[in-house]
Amino acid sequence: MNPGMNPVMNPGMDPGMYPWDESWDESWDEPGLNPGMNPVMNPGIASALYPIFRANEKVFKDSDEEVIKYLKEKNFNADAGLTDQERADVLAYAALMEERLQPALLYLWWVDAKNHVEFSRPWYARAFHFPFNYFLPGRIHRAAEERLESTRGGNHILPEELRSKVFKDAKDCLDLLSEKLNEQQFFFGDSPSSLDALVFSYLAPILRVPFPNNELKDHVKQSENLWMYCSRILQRYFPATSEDAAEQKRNETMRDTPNSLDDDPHKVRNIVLSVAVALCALVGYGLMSGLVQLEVVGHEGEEDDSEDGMAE
Amino acid sequence: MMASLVEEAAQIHAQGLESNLQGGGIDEELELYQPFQKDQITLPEEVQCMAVKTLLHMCKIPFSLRLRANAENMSPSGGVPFIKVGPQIVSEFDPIVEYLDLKGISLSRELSGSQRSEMKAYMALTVNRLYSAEVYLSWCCETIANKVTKPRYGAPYPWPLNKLLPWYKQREAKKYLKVQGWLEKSQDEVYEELKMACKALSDKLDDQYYFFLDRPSELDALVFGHLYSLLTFQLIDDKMADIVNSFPTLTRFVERIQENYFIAPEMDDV
Repeated sequence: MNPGMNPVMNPGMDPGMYPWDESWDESWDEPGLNPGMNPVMNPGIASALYPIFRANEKVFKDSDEEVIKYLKEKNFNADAGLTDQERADVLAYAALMEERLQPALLYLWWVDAKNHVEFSRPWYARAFHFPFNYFLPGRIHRAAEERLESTRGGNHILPEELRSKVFKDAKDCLDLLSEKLNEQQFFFGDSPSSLDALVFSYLAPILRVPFPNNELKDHVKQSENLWMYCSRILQRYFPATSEDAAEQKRNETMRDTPNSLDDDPHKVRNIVLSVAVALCALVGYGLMSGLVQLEVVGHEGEEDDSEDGMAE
Repeated sequence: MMASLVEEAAQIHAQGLESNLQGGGIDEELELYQPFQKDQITLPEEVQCMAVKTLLHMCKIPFSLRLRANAENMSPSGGVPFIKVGPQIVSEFDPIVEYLDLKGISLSRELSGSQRSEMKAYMALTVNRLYSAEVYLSWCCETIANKVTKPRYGAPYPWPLNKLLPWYKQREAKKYLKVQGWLEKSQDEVYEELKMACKALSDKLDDQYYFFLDRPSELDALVFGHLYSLLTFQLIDDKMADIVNSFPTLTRFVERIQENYFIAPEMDDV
């Protein structure tokens, strides 16, 4: 455990605490995250379990609850100042978001056709290593669909119906959260609790992930207190240090050039490959059908003749 | 001529709206359909039926109970119970609450914004944790599934069906739990979840008579439905009842609601 860790910067504030952790791994500059730490990039771990949390010898996977428990044992408890009733509220709102908001996020990531085809699939495919990039995104996509289907009223439901149902639930949930937050700094007054971490973990992807299709973003922006709340947390717990800023700048400058450079070698390689394959097929066909052989023999003969002729 | 007809129609429409807004209520007889209570119903279904019945009692809506062995297949969403008012059929707890709200009957009308927000959150907690725990224990805990749930679920059907249908239903239940991430949990973990949810509810209720203000809300109906069924449903062991019993606030709450809304003879009928 990092001894310098500030207890106020509580376990939940770790960006790895939310179910969408994999979303943070690269591509846009979320302060405080190191793309090199991306678990996806670790070839040994292709099980799609996040977050991975390492403390001394212990490794936790895919279980924010376990991590919070571990941190509590080490006396980093974000909920220490809460009353029993407030702690019950934490549990209740966690369940509310799991029930209402999570399906909408799943929908945004994996089920919405435009987002899936244009954004999440290619993005994930880029992040995974070679054999995995072909089937892991598909697997996550199917799991998301399955989950929506069985929690939102079976397989007889129409896609449009599902969509409106999921987003209606999510918007209701956002309204309820905004109602609960009211004008307060955090959900329970002036100091953060694990609920704040959890709420932020749901809101941040809605606001920051550049989905081509995002119905919820405008809704969050409309409820001013949630919007302010998010920027407050970002400022306070993910401050852009000078190092980050420098890196961001570097990334920005790199982004224009290397991105095009990044794509270019692929393009060239693809063209070369396809030309090579086409040539192989052509020559192969020629050889198989005997056409080329005849030509070659004839050609060689002619050449020889002409050369002979020239020589003569 | 045309104009007067249109006007008339508009008037009728407006009157209709008004009567709806004034809470015209439900004029026709309300029928509640559910599976047989005594030897067919399974725990998760029993919970849902109990919650809806409590809700109707709390809204003071008279209803007649219809027991059907195939209630599940009659329901438009595949879930029991469902209510039938005239030509309309609405199934399951949340849609029924919405339907009653449309008819001008709502238990939570007088709650403030933040109270309503909390109510919804605790309802989500009840559904998300308690219901999943009930499904898990009924269908995934091998002894309970084989000795209680499956025989009960298959009870109304003849031989090959009474083995096939429960098996099919169990697969469905496992799929539901899998996508919720509950299937990998051990039985002890599920009991732990149950305990945590009960503790949260008990802390929230504290020593109040109802969860919010001095009147019942949808949350009270839902929580009562769950807790009452957990306390009374005959499973192999009493572990679930013991967990609920370890929170005296909750048991007192269940007793209170039972006394207020379920008069003794009616319970016998059910």
